[in-house]
Amino acid sequence: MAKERTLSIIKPDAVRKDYVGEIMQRLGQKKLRPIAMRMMQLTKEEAAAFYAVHKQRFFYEDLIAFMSSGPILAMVLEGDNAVAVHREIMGATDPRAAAAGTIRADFATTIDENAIHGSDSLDNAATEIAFFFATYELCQRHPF
Amino acid sequence: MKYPIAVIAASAALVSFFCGEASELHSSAGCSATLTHPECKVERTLALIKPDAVAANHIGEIIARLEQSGLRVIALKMVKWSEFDAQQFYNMHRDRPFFAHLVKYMSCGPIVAIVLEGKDAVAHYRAIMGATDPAAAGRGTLRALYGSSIEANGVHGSDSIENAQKEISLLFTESL
Repeated sequence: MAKERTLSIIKPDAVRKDYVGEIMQRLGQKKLRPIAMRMMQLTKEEAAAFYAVHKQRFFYEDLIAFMSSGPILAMVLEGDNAVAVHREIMGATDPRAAAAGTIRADFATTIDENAIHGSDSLDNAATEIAFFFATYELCQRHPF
Repeated sequence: MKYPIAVIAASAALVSFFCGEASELHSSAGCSATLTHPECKVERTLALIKPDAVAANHIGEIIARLEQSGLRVIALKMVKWSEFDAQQFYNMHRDRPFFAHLVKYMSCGPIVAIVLEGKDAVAHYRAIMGATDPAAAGRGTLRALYGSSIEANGVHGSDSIENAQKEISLLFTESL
């Protein structure tokens, strides 16, 4: 299995509800290790730039308003098949459709405020990581 | 060369704008901006998850315990210190016998720096951490659970409000 990196964001709803530690425990149980982490609050402009791919979608305005509504925790996760493993532990976009035991099933309630974001492909992971972190901010980790 | 104060202030605002230096502290407490006010008991303290606990992947468990203790995480980042960074942070211990080893240890791998905010945050967090030596730390404290030696003891916490302010400003920016 190839070692990959993916971008994970704990969204404003989950940060507000103090779920950061519990969500990180779920990620750690799947052997996803953070190699960069930063709590930050996006401006509307930054959120718009990050989600530019959704610009024509009906939910775009609501999404950028929500993503800039409070602090988020942006992380780079490293591990075997990190992109797919992270998507699996996140669960479906709509928490009501998310499988039991996934992060969205356990920590989110609506499709708009669904607790966590994860890159959907290796290519997008590289783009999204570069959006949030400079190369020097990615830390080497010892295997645990 | 002398500049009028307004020019200096305007330049600082521009530097901060172009460098993206918005505040890294995301306070949720109403009186946080007036921490020096005598009636405000809301404090901030600095917590570090040390290299041993990061390497052992205890980050999530430790943050969950902090969140569940009633303290608010208002800033967080992972950093990898150089030996110079560690020397600056532990400067008050410069003449102690353990200094060189401590500096080496704190720069051996990434750490997670966290600003906690809440009522009596300095003392409250020190109680959650437990004694410096994990062998002497009370049951259920972070050091009893995640520390392995007096040096690799899992976490750091500020020992006073004054030191908390100094330590926070070494690691995080706050816009004026």
